[in-house]
Amino acid sequence: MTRAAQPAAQPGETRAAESPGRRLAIWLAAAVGTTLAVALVCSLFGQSRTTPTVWVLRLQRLAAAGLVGAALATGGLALQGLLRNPLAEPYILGISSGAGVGVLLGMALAPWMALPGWATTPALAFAGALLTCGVVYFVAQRRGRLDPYGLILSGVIVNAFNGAIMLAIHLYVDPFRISDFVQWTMGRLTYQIDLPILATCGTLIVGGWVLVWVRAAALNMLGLGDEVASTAGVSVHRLRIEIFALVGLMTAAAVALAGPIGFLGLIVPHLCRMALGPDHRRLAIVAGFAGAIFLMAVDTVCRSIGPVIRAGDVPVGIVTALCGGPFFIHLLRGRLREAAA
Amino acid sequence: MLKHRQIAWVAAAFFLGCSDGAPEAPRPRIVAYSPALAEMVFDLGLGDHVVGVAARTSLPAGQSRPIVGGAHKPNTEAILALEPDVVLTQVDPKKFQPLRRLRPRVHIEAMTIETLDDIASALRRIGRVAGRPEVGNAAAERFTETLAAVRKRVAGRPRPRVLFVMGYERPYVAAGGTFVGDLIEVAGGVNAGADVPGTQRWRAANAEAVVAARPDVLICRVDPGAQDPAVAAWRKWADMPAVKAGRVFTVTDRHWLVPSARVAALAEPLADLVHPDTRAGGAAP
Amino acid sequence: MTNGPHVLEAHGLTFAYRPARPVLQDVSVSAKAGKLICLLGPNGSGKTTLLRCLLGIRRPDGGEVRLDGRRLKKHSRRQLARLLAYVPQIPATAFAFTVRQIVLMGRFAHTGVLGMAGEHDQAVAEQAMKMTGTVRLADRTLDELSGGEAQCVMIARALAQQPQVLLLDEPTSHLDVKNQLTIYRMMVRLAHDWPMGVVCVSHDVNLAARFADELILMRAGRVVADGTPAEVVRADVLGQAYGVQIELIDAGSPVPMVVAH
Repeated sequence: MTRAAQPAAQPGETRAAESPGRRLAIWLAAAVGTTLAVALVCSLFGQSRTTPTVWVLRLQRLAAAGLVGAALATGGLALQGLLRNPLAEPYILGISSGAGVGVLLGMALAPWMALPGWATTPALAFAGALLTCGVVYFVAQRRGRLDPYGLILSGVIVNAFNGAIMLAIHLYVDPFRISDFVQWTMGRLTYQIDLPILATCGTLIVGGWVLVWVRAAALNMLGLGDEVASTAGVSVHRLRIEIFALVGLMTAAAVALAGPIGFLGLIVPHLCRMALGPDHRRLAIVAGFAGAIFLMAVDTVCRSIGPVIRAGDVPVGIVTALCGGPFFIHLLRGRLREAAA
Repeated sequence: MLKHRQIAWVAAAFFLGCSDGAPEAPRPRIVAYSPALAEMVFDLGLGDHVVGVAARTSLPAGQSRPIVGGAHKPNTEAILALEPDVVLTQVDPKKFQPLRRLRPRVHIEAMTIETLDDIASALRRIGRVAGRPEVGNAAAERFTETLAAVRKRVAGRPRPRVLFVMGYERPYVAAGGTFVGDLIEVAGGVNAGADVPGTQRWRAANAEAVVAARPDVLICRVDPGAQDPAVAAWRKWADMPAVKAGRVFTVTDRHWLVPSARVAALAEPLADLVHPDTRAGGAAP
Repeated sequence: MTNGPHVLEAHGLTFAYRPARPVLQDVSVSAKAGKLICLLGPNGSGKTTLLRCLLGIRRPDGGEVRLDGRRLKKHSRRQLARLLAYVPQIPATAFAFTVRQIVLMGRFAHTGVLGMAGEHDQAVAEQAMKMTGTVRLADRTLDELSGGEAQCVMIARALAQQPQVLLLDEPTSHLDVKNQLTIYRMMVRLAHDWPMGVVCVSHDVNLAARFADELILMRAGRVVADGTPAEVVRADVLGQAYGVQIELIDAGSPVPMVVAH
């Protein structure tokens, strides 16, 4: 058998050829349809009567929830592929702590000087997040190249440093505002979403999502190791930088919209991988929609449940963190079982 | 014999020199350990007694006092250095245990100041511990009389539902047991904030919960400069009775957030908003 | 791309991780279709580094690597992937891909930007699995397989790239005797029948001597012997390279057995 001869197609051996393009279109349509259906159902719940005005405002909040969920899930997925570690999460890159520094700095400076008009909480969060991304990159890179361990270490260091900066800023912030800031760090969605901000963040998120999907095949290859991936045609170093930048942008946009919502970027890609297998081409689509649906549902619970549990507005971040605990325990026990078997 | 006289002269000079002459502050020396309490003491005209304040206290123009700790963390050494006789505080008096051990004579006067009645009683207590009970009582009288006058002005009128909220992005609603809630009653309204779900006096609320409380009048406290975005944000909820009636107002006075004697002065403008037709000088424009 | 057999050549390669410690010194190799070349030598002699330079993963400090006369770095990664393929020492994957998915990944350089595998790609992958006897494992994951099976899967993946030259780094160092023979026989078949050039870093002198068409013996970054097994398998040459006492035993095979003392 030589290279030159075309292999004859044997019915039993080759797969039934369904055009990959058509399969993709079907998946996509199903995912979009499901997400819209969930959004519609969620928009009927809330603490006040569902009038048209209220409904529109709820839809805006749901749109933000969907975008943030998609961003975090896709970002988490891409990062897990990049670092070859199913336990990676977007916040290890220091993005949420960077956003926190930005927001807290704004709160501290506000009484002393009139901040420029663009310096709203989302803008400050976004700026802080991106700056931190840049710092993490510069600390981790060697001759312009990123190494997975270097990235994780750099993220940990920058996170710690940001934490220290935030504690220092605390000394100069009004106690009232600290409570405000603590609320922000829990991660929550609001009805008061500036439509231009929503549009900008939305574009970044959807754009990043699509680009991650485009690079999904290359992400698959990374799982075989740098050398195999490289010799199989992937420019590994460029891919690392691309994914890092995309995850950074999407996460910064998500944090700008809703503050740091934890665990979603870890749980959702993980669950999708358990259900659908590790192929990033499939996951890059499904995880995003799964994240969107997850966050829309959780946010709907959070904003409707007040009267039942006699609390005010429940931040989504609390619920995702509460989900995170049992999930981790389940994961851990699964691994221990595997190891013992 | 010369020796005895010399000793007597030296002793006399010593004791004379020892007395401070005019003391730095009149007895008792007061540490006013909260912005609200400091403001009340100064308003009573007893600012001379104040030797130290907590962080973030805004003092009258031209005044300054050493800062002896943060919101919940008293700096025992700094307080000791001021040799206080009284510490006024709104936080748990146990935080001052170290101080009491080192200076047993100091009197810790702890008070909760949440409602209008609390404010009146605080004024009296401050007067008492400062050794000027008549000042405190007079201030408390003036306080309650101002409120009574406003009550009289709006007596007998139907009470609209009034909701007071801090901020608009993450609103905090004044529920029952707050001085703002009391002011609403005084101004002739019903506190709709009591219907917002929650357990705290100031409740973190969902915008929809505010809408569900069906306020006829919405008053939003924001920092100066944020009035327009606040009104625009609340007006989005077109089904709220307050929005439909065009009765969404913003206030920027700091005193809406800090309980003090000046709170009584807020009752009148509040009544103007709640019952505009009782304004002195005719109906609202 | 020429139609005749392609040639992967290295001339005068030098490389050092740190200035004081050179890893390769003036090394030249030539690989082309039809030949199985085995690189031999003690640990630290630079075999793996040489492999990396041949693959274009490492840039040599001096000398150059040419493919069809063109310097390696003039090719893009995708182009290179259609000509050279690599099999690592230990087969491993971070996520639980199936064998079929792994082999299909070898088609990356041939598919479009989005990496979607078409009919032709599936067929090539199937053929690669047939060549390596891994079709029956198609739907299993790598961690379910034995060492030998997993290594065959990695070879299948490399074959899916349809390369001109296949480079392997000690592919049998952790396998049992039977699997070692399987892999070496496969390499010979690929070299002679496909045909392709095969360059393999070996740790076992006897296996290499038995199956290879050309042996390159390295020591301390230099090539100390380069020729057919009959030429290279000599007690003095091997003994000096490995630093041990070598005894040759005639076992009736074309090349004597090597025993170290």
